[in-house]
Amino acid sequence: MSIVEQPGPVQHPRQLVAVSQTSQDYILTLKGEGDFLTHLQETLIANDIHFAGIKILGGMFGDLEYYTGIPDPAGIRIATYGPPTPVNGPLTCLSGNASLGRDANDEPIIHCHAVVADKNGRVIGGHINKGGCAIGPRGVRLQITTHPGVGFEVSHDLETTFDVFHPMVIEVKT
Amino acid sequence: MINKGQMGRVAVVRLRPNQDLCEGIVDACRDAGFNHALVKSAVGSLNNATLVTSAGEIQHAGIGIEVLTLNGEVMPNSDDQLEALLSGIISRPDQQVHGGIFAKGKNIICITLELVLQEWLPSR
Repeated sequence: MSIVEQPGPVQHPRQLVAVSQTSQDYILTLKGEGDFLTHLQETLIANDIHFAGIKILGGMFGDLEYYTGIPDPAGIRIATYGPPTPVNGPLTCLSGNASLGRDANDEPIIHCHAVVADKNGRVIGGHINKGGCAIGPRGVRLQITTHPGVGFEVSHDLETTFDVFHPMVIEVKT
Repeated sequence: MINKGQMGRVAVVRLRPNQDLCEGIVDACRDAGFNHALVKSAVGSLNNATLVTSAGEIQHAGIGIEVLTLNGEVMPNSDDQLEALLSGIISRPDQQVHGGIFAKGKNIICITLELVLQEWLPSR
């Protein structure tokens, strides 16, 4: 086991679960120019989708900046993101996942990890930030899974000291 | 063998640090009341991952290994105990990308794993 002591107190329960009785899946193709995550978020919100699990089915990215994790050099947290690694597109989307939820200010936010192949077939991947990944020439195709009544909301995690997604029962705003 | 069924309820899950990936997802299924579930999406990180390939177990050292993809299911095994069968792709701190089956008990959550699971309801 690779137990690593976190900076804050252990929180319970160790897994948080919220269940939706219903679900709806969508297939989405994003095309055109612009930032991938910005366009994805705007498209989902415009279609009244505010919380979802997202899978990248295929397509292409343009230029990309991605991040991988490293031990926190400041020693405050266990890990942090290293500096961004730029990669020139076009890049073939192999797979990836994202979580659409909302932040502490009730604004939409997406957390995304993706895997791509460059023109030589070299496989690379990591965390993607909004503004750091362009939609590629053939667009990006995604599967969207909604879960009405529950979703991820950002809140401060005392154990890791990060602000992270937590499952929540979502109140329907009227 | 082909099994007919339909998709059911959806659970959104967070696994906290220092849980095993496979065991934590099984515990989450129990909490949700799912007897069989498929992974729909997952985003998170591990410490010192272990992936299984045809050559056996391969250990990947590193703090903050990114889980790039996670595929598979949780279902009853031959002893009727819930078991997670999960494969995926990781990105190490040295930016090397590797894939395989996640070995049980040997993939420890670093910061978090955000997970969407969907129940599979076999036809009787």
